[in-house]
Parts: sequence; structure tokens; C-alpha cells
Amino acid sequence: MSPTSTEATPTTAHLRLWTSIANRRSLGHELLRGAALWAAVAIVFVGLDRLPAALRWVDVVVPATWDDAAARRTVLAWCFAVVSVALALWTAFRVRRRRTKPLQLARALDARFVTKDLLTTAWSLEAGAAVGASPSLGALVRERAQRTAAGLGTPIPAWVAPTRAIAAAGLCAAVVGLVPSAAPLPDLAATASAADPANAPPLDAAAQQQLRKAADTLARLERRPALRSEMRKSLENARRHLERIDRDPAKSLGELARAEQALREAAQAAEREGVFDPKELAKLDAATLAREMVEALERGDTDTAAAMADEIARRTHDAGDEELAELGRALDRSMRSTESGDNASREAGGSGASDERGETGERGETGEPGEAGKPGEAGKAGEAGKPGEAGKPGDAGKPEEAGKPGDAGKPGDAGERGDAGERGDASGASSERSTSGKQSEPGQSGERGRSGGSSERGTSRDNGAKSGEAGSSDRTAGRGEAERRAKWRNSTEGLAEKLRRGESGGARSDLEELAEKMRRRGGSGSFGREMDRALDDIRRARSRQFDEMNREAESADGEGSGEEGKDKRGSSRLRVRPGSPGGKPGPGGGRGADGYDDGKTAPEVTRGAAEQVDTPSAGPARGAVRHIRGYAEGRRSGTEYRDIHQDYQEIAESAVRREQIPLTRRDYIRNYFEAVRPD
Amino acid sequence: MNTAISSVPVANPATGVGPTEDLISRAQDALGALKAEIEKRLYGQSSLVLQAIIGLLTRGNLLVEGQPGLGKTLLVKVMAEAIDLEFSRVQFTPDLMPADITGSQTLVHDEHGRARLDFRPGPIFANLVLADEVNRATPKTQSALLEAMQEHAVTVGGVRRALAEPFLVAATQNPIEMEGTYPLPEAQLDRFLLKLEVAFPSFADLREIGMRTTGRSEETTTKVMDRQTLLSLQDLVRDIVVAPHVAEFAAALTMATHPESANAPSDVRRFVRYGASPRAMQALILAGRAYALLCGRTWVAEDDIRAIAHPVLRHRMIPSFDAKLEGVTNNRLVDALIASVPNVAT
Repeated sequence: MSPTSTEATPTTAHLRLWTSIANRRSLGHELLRGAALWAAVAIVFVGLDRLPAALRWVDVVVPATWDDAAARRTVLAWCFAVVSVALALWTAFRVRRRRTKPLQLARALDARFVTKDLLTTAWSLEAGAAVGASPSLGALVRERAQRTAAGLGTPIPAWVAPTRAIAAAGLCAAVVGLVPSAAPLPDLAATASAADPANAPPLDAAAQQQLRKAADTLARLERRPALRSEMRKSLENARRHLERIDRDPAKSLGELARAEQALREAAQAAEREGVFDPKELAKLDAATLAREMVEALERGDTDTAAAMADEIARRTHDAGDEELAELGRALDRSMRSTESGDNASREAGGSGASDERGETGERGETGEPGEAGKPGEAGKAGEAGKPGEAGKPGDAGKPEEAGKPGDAGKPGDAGERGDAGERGDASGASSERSTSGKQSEPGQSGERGRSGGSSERGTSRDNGAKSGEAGSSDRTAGRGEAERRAKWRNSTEGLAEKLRRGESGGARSDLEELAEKMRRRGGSGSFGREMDRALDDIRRARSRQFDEMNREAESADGEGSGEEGKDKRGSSRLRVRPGSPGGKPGPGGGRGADGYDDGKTAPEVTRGAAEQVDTPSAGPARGAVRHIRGYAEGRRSGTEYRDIHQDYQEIAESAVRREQIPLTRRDYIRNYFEAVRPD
Repeated sequence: MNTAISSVPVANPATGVGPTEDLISRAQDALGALKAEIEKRLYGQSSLVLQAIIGLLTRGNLLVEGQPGLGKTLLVKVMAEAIDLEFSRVQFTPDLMPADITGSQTLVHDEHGRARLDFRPGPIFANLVLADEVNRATPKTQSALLEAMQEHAVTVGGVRRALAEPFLVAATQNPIEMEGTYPLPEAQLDRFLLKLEVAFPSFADLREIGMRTTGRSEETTTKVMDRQTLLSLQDLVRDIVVAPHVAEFAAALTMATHPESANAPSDVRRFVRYGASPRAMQALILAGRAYALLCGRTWVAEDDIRAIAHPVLRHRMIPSFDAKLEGVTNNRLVDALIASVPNVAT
């Protein structure tokens, strides 16, 4: 019986019904309001998490503590939890405060409908609270109240959405949506374009081999199934740029920059959207999925294995017994074939020293403890020690130390040490390199060792110096990883068995658990690490090339003048150029500029340098020196100097904008280019 | 109309059927007619008349205060005429003795020559007693009214004599001629249910008074209600429903008149020496019941209490010296009270 439809219904029934409706609406309003505010807070926290990336877009230096994503997210998560609890308590308080009682509602309705306390009095009478009231007049009051209540319909205000809270959440979402989620990629395009017209110094054999290996790695990654198309395209671009270097080594400087750019984009896309395309994964058949998962497990490619495991787990949702059994059989087949492949690979690894075997050996190191101790690999690690020694001069290349002798007037030293400073920065500042150094297998260390004299000297030296410890620790790490893989293999066998038996639920949870573990642990052959290694190789090659260019320029300048300080200007210019795309210009460049600005010896210096830089084979730097000298001698109409100034200024500006140039040095660089601006 | 009211009992004891809405509406009509009849002689004093009727309905006593010539005496006289009540008037003077009010025993001789004491009732033995300029009599004489006002009885010569119902004392006093007067003591003031203030009429009312009262024929008062009807209405008023929240509001209002109360407004704390007594709260509820009936309702609302708060409370708060110095009236204090006491939260 609906109280609103019957006049004889007591007023208390009306009031109770209305109270219930009012409280429900109030509860809905408050809960939605709380949810909207909670969403707004969550969005704000997402915005705070994105803040460091956003600040980098506007060249604001982010404190290191806030730049650490894990630490930042831990702090934000705790803060968010506290705010959430506070919000929940506040919502509960508001719900309680807004909760009304029948008598309160009666009073409110009396005030609203100007019924002169009729409903309140009737409630008191029906509830027996009006002691001593005349029964006859009380009956009159109740009757009149019932008629009045029946005539009011449902006098509860319609439900109102918490528009302000929802709007706040929407506003937060809109604002946070505009905040970039990723830091800007260093724009290497300008560097690459600037480098194109010039002839790059030839890459040495070791560097070429390194780049070929990186290209092979990228080609392998490209062949991974169900990759996102953008990811595949980026990898392909990077690989093609690397391959072009073989065809046209003179363009290597630009191609390396482009390859690095493409790989960075790929890494960022992987972080943003993931590596694999769910739609493509869904198209794979059971056998392919199983094979890819098992193979990925064997080679330590945890990203791929986790993606395949997730896809298999997803399929077990709706799979029938037959499909489950088929998945199980496919896993079994894959594991058998992988075991036999391993055996063959072990044999191959033990027999020779080809490039392919080197790769196989690498896998073996990380996967199979026994392989890690094979003589061939140990030999590679031993080679690593030599360049490490060679890298000792790199120790002296601390930026500050390098700058001081430069001031003292030894141009060659200044240049070299300036470069070394740059290298020191690069190796010291790059956490990726040090990370890969720690994770590296002996084979990799050896390669790094061979690159002694390049920018990686510091890293190589470290590796070489610690070769003994590193070898043992690598073996320990390899053993640990092998144990993990053995566990994963056991898990895979177990879930294959479950699938064959049709236990879809158990298999699914096992698969999900396996995928989660793999994602958490990572593997030496994971997609991300493979990409990182390729990127490292490219960076290393670029650094080497810059070193080479600097050396050429310095030696050419030194030969030409034989006077102290005369090539300050030229060498410093040369150092700025290579420094800008890959790393920081470094103090060496800065000091050189200082010497020039003094203006004491500059005319003679440039005259002396000109005879050297005119040599056709000297590369772009010599042309630059000639034009700069010409401008300094008064040939102000030359457009070449203007072009050179513009090119270098753009490169320097790009470096200032994109790279980690200390704030105190930025104006310094800008002022310099302003000072040497053509009329 | 008056006949109908008087012929219908408030509740039928045989059937148990209580008063119907029809009775309530007829009561309202009768009271409306009484009010209109009084206002026919007393122009522009609608509020005063309403409060006087509330006094009648609640069996309370009225203290009417106003300047000379505003119709205080006329109000009481017309009220008596309209209800056919026995009316008596006592002009209070300093030499007035209590026996002049209550009556006295006198020595009389019968036809056989035997002497005996016979009681001669004073003017108090009436339904409606007008104590004109009550503050001009000595306190001793003023106190002669106390028993009659409170207990509707007088004791003379050791014999207690009940007064006829309905009984109402309407005392008047002049607020400006204070020389040689004896202000009423607080105990006596508290026994007046309402203190009516006769306001000076408006220009239009003055003109109307001039037009109507200076001609050859003067308006006469018609009887519109009999005693029995009045008694029935007095009973009906006592039956009007008072919900707990209304009683709480009246109690809160009364409590707030005390300067030491936590809920007292700042004006009360500063300007009131003594607050109202519990009798004031009774008066608030009782007057509220009468007011509700006059409005045609069988229940009291908080607004009814607010409406009659001024005449009930204004003479029950004893102002402090500060109030006298700053010219703060009790009406202003009651306004502050009403504003400060919110609706009772339930």
C-alpha cells in the first residue's frame, strides 16, 4: 500500500516513506559526490606523477628525488591513500549529517508548506509523544494532517547530481590530460641534418661490427610476433639507418643519430602502450603461442613470454576441453622441441667461435650456468681487460681537471682533456650504460673493452678492473637466472598438464602468476633489454666518432701552428659540435671559447689553423675553421661563416634545450654565440 | 450564532464523540463576531482587542497600560457588554481600602430588632472587574486583588467566598503620571496573564473616532455571546493540542529570559535583572492555545507562541538599571528573545 495514495494512511507512514526516499537520494548524492571528488584527487595525483615529464618540456630542472619514478610513485601512493581515507571519512560524515529523521522532515515540510506545525503535531500525536492531549481534538489534528499529507504527493526534492564535484573531476581530467605523460625525446633530427653534408670520420672495425650486431638484434626483435605496428616500424627504421652506414660510411654521423632517435621513440612507445598488440596476439594460433612462449622463456625474453602467457590465459576463459587439451599439447611439443634445440645449441657453442655462436653463447651464459664457464666466453672477458687499461687516460678526463690545463695554454691537452671530460660526463651520467655494464655478460664486456679510447673508456676500465669479480658475479647471476628459468619451465610443464586435463581455472591462474612473475623479474633477453643494448651500441659508436673527429681536428690544428693556444678556437668549435647531439658540450668547449674571447692570440691562431683545415680530407671541421678564420680576418661578406654560425648555434641551442646543460652554463653558451654572431 | 455555540457541548460524554471541525469553525465565528463587536466601539485597536479576548478565553487577568484617553476603560466595558457579563469598576485611589474592593460585614438589625453581621459584597463580586489606575492605591489595597485574581475567591471575616465564573480582572495603569503612585510589586505583576499596551491610534483611526463618537447617536454594543458560551470556549481552549516541540519552545523562551541562562541573548544578559517565572511559560502555552483557536486551529504552533510572547513576557522581566539608563524597553528584549531562540531541534 502506498501511503501517498490513501488518505487514511497515518501521517507517520507518509513521513517514514518520505524520510526513506530523502535519505536514499541524499546517500546517492553524497556517494556520487565522494566518488567524483575521489576521481578528481586520483587525476590530480596522476598529474603530479606526470609533472616531472611535463617540467622537462619547459626545461625546468626536476629534483632528483622527484625524478625517481619508483620513489615518486611510492610517495604519491601513500598520499593518495591518506587522501582517499580522509575523503571516505568526510563523505561518511556528510551522509550522517544529511541523514534526516521523520520528525525533522515533518518540521521542514511544515515550514515549506506553511502548515503551522500540523505534520509535526500529528507525528507527535501518532507517536504518543503529546501526553495529555485531548483525544477528540487530537483526532481532528490527525485527520487533517492525513488529508494534508495525502495532498502533498511526494514532497521530497528531486535527486540532484553533485554537479560541482563532477565538474571538478572533469576539469582535473581536462587539465591533467594536457600534461604530457612522457618527457620529450631529445630531438636528434637537427643533429642528423646538420651532420649530413659533412663527411663523417670512418668508423673503426670494432664499431662497425658492433653496429652490425645491433642491426641484427633489431632485425630479430622485428620478427617477434604480434608486435605493435608502430613499434615494428620504429625498429625497422632504426635497423635501416644502421644498414645504410655500411653502404655510405660518410653519412654515418647522421644515420647514427636517426637510428638513435628511432630507437628512443620505440622505447617510449613501448613504455606508453606496451610492445605487443592484443589484436595481433589474438590472431596467433595455439601452437604459435605455445612455441613463442616457451622459446621466449628459454632465451630469457620475459616480455614476450609474459605477453604470450597472458594471451593463453585469456583464451582459457572460454576454451572447451578440446581446446585446452590442444593448448597443453602445443606447450608440450614446444618444450620438447626447445629442449632438443638447446642441446644442439650447446653442442654448437662448444665447437666454434663464429658470430652466431657468440650470440648463442651469450644466451647460454644468461640461461645455462654451464655455458657461462666455457673457455671461448672467458676469453672474450679477458680481452675486455686490455682496453680497460687503455682507458686509464680517461680517468684524467674529469671535466674540471681537463679545463684547467686548457686555460694554462696547452691547446692540444685542453682539447683532449675537454673531450675526455665530455666522455666522462657521458659515461658517468648515463645510468643506462652503467646498468647494462652491471648486467653484462663477459662477451659484452669484451666488446666494450675493445672500444677502449672511445667515450666508453671509463666504463670499460671499470669492467676490466673488476673483471674477476664481474666474472664470478655474472656467473652467480647467470646461475640464478638459470634457476628461475628452470622454475618457469617446471611451471610451464605443470600448466601444460593442467590444460591437458581441462583444468582451465588452475591453468589460467598459473599462467597469470607466471606472466606477473616474468614481468616483475625481467630477463636478460627481454625485449626492453635487447633494445637498450642496441641503443647502447649506437651511442657508443657515435661517441667514438666524435672522439675521432676531435682527435683529427686537434692533430691538424697542432701540426699547422705549433703555437700555444692557437687552435683553441678551432678545437673548441669541434668539440661543441659532437657534444651537442649525444651528450653535453662539456667544459672543454667552454674553456676554448674563453681563450678566444680574450682576443690576445686569436688572429695568429686562426691563421695557423687555416693551412691545415683546407685539406680536402680533413672533413667538415677544417672547412669550418677556414671560414671562421676568414671571418676573423675581416672577410665579413662570406656567407659561409653565417651558415656555419647558424648551424652551430642551432646545434648548441638544441643541446641547451634538450640536454642536461647546467642552468648556470646555458646563458654562458648563448652569450658566446651572440658574441660571435656575424654582422 | 452565540446560541449555537452555547448549545453544543465540547465533548459528548455519552457517545464519546469529540468536537467536530464544524464546532471549531463555529467557535471561530463566534470569537470573530465578539472581536468585531468590540472593535465597533474601539477603533484601530485590533491587536489590543485580540489580546483582551485571549485573556477572556484563558481565564487570565489583564493589565492594560496606556496614556489617558486611549480607551482602556472602554475596552473592558464594551467587552462586558458584548458577552453580557456583570461588570464593575473600581477607581483606585490612595485612600481606597481593601474592604472597599472585597466587601465587608456590616451590623444590621432585623424586623425583630436583633442585630446581626451581614456581608455586603464589594465590586470584586462581578464577572469583569475593572481596576482603574490600579497603581494609585496603596500596596495593601492592591494586594486585596491577589486572592481574587489567582483563586477566583475572596476571604472576608474568615469566610471564603467564591467569585462567579467567568471572572476576570482588568487593571489599568497610566505610565506617565507616576507621581504619588505605587508601582505594582513583581508578585502581583506575575499574576496578570497579559499586559496589554494601548497604542496611540493612527491618523485614520483618530479621524474615525472623531466622526463616530461626537454625534447625537453613539454606537451601542450588542450582546454577541453569553456566559455559557464563553465558559465552553474556555474549556475548548484547554483542549487545544500542544505538541512537545511547542512546549519545548515555550520553555526555551522562558529560560532565555534569565540573564544567567546559557541561551540568553546578549541584550537579556545585560539589561534584565530577573527573568520570567514558570508561570510565564504556562501563560505562553495557554495564550498560545487561545490564539490557535482564534486562528481556527485545534493545535498550537510555535508561531502562536511567538505571536503572544510580547504581552505574556513584557511585564515579567525585571529590567536592570542599565536598561532604564539606556531606555531599553521590555518589548525590545522580547524581540531579542524571539530572534535568539531557534526552532526546537528534534
